[in-house]
Amino acid sequence: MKIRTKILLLFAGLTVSTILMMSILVYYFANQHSFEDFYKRLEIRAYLSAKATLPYYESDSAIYNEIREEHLEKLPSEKEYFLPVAADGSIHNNEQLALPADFYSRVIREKKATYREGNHFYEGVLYKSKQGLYIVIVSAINKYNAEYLGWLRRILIISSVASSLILVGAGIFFSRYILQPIRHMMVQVKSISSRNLHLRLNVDNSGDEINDLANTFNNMLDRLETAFETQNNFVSNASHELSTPLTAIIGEAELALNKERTSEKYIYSLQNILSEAGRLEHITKSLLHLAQTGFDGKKQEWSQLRSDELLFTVKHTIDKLHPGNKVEIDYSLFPEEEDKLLIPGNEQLLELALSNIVMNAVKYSNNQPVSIALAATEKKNIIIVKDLGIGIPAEDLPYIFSPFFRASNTSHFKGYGIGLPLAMNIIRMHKGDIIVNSQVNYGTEIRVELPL
Amino acid sequence: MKNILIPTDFSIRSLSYVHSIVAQHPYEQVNIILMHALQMPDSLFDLVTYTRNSRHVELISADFQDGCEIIRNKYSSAIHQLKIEFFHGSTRAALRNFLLAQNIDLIIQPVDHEYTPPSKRSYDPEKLISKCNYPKMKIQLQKQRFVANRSTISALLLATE
Repeated sequence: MKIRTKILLLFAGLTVSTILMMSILVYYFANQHSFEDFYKRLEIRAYLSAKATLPYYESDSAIYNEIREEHLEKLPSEKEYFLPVAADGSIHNNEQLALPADFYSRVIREKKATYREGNHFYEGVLYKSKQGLYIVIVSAINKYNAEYLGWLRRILIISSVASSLILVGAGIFFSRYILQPIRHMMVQVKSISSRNLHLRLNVDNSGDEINDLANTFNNMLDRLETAFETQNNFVSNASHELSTPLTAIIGEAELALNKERTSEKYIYSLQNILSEAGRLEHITKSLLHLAQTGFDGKKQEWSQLRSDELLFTVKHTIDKLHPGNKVEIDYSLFPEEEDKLLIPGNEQLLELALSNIVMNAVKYSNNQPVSIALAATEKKNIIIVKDLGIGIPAEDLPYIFSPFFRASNTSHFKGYGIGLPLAMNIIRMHKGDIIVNSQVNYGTEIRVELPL
Repeated sequence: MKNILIPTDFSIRSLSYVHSIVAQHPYEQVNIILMHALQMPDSLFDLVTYTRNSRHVELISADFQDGCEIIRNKYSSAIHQLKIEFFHGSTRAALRNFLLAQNIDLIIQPVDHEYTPPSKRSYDPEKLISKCNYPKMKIQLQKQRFVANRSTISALLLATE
């Protein structure tokens, strides 16, 4: 059963049963009260007629009859019976009356009793007169009451049916409304696949549970995307970085083999091959190091790390991958106190992000000087990577963090548009920000802000 | 301890003078007061409702704030205090009072008159400063090769390149 139906049933069941319960109680108590009321009226009539028919003084009779005629209207099919009670307690029964013996004994014992047969109501009272003990019974049809109760029943049934319908309708709307964000989210999640992992769920800031769920999904997507992109990054880097030394090795070997040579020449070739192979090994190691996503099957490791050490590691990695680079660390804004440089984060991921940014700077400036500066404010650390490269056209700036996007002036450079999105993702996981300033042909300045 | 005043237009560039100040006061701590000059309002109603309210504080950009914190962290042993003060007024007497109140020992005079007022009421107090008889120091910033945007923090960097 769908949750929507469940909510609907629960809601409707709860409210409709409350209404039904109330209607039934209203009807029951109204019924009860109207009986009592009617019996009271019959009792008054019984006493009055007894006083009129069996008076102490003859003159009283006329007065009582006058009161009865003036003030008491005749009830529908009102009948009076006078049953004399003998001294031994036996009752002279009337043929027209078919009342249970229990009724009479109750009248004698409690001085009055009531009895009901369908719509006919009987009230009996014990009356002591000059002529002896009598049981006076007045019977009548409670027509007014029957009508009144009929109306009440009809109104209650109609109103409960109507309100049930309204409540079920409201329940349908209610369950739809409650589950609307979930259905919304489902549509959004369905549209995300491995091709467009950069998509995220919409989050408004109402702070309810659904939003928490969306945020949780988004965090999961962040991590997934980072892992995914790290692998892509590795593949693209590998294809790019490994081909140069491989070509050198193959060329050197082919050159050495295409004719008979002196042993010095062979030694020279082999040495070249050896140094290139060494470089290859170096590059492979560095790439593999970067490809470790920081997830390594276990939980991500977050710790306090020093941002200046991070910069040195990045510089070291770049030195291995691109010997002869001109990356400089700018110390001009380093804070004096070391504890201003402690930031929480995953070292491997941050290293990957920064080295991607710096490698981009090296690549797109044709190995011109690149400066990495570090500054600390009270709340964040700021890393500024500046190059003198080709820059990014202003119209491309909004898109540089989308996967597989490459700026329009990068056709001379190999690349797949993976590095910057990955860096952005990692920085976002650290709740930081990347701000890019660029001028075509003058250079690019990338500011990475990481919160303390 | 010297109190040094730097006129500022809340650009990061105006923070760069701190580098030279610290370089020229190697063995003592300094207090740096960044002064932003604002004209008094003209209309009577504005004058009555004129307060030290958040309208002025809004002029201080987040980047400038970051820049101040960076400088403070970098020279935490050389700079005792670095604060921003608003100077309201445009007369020599007002400036004299302000300098007296802040107990200023030295005024920095930027040589390159680059002043971009961040609001309508801001003005460059250069003329007033040159007329007053406090000790002054002229500082020339190095020419900058490339800054993508003058308001970014990297403007601080280039000062020491």
